[in-house]
Amino acid sequence: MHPSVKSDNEHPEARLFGELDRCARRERLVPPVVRALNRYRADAPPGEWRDTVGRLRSHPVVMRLYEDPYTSWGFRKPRGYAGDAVLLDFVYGGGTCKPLLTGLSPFAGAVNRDLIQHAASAALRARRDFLGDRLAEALASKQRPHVLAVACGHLREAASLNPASPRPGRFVALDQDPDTLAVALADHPMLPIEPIRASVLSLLRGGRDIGTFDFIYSAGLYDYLSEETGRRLTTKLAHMLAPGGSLLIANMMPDLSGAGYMEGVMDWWLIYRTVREVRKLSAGLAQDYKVRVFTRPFTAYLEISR
Amino acid sequence: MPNQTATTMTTIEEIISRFAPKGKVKTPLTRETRLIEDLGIDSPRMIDIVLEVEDRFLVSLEDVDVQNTATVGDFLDLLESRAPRN
Repeated sequence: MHPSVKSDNEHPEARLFGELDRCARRERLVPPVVRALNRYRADAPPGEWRDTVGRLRSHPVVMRLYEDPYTSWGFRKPRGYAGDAVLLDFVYGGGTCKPLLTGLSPFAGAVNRDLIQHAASAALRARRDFLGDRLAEALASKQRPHVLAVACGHLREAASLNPASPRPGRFVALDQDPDTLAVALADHPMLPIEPIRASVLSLLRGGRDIGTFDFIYSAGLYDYLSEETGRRLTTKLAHMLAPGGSLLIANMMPDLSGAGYMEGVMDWWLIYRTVREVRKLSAGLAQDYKVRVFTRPFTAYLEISR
Repeated sequence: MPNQTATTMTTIEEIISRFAPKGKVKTPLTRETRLIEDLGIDSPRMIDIVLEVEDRFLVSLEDVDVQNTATVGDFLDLLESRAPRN
């Protein structure tokens, strides 16, 4: 049978690999690969998708995609964990990834451009911009407020603050990665950043009292936390709010297009949550907290006010 | 105390199976089973496992010790070296 003729009896994985074979002849590789992976992932049971992913990465078309430094960085995880701040710099453009983008082949450059322009990357930039706006609002809402960024990364949302923005009384940047904290500190000299190296575990245990805060936010951390750990952390962070303070937590939603590429090719697995699932993260809180869940494209936000 | 060790192993196996990526865990686990390479346990899943283990065994595990566990056997040894917390 000619490879372009589909058979209803063809196994879905064989069909996917056939589609990938055909992608090799396309001028632009990324859009059809992303579409094919998303389609297969949407229809496959989770266990089957994981099994397929194991075989997918030795497909010649997929192997070529690792020439893109963004894809390769995501897959290799040089910092030892997924979704690090350098990976996000690829999406945001500039920062620490700049040296990795020099001297690319035309193919690698084209793959990189297509991925960075994709809706999934746009959603991450929109999240950064939204948190930047909320950070600016928090700084303007009170005289010298105390701010806590949890799993702060490179604090790129703070780049949108202008020199005339009101200054925080404290700006605690908490992350488990010392290299990430060093960049956050170096790239935002206008902010009085207090870097704290701490893991989620140590934060949950609360061995060190770091005070109370008027605005606490977390951009990408919850995308990796189970419901149980997320609920515990939400309760812990809510208890760190000063009276009148607010906590803002972002979580990617299941409709994120590009998840098939992220998981299948980049080995970048997020825990996507619906609005209902995001609300459940606040289940451990007492009644005197106000809870609101709202959405932006591909992202749900849990806002807790004290 | 081989019986106690076997019970601990069974409980650890149950906890790991609950939090490891679907389809990754092929029981029975052995002491040599590697947490990252064989079971796909990344750092967020390790947090889940540590919290559950702490709750079930009433112990406290230090971050630095947890970071040094590469296999199920390492994890069992760490757990058995910790006295139940008060």
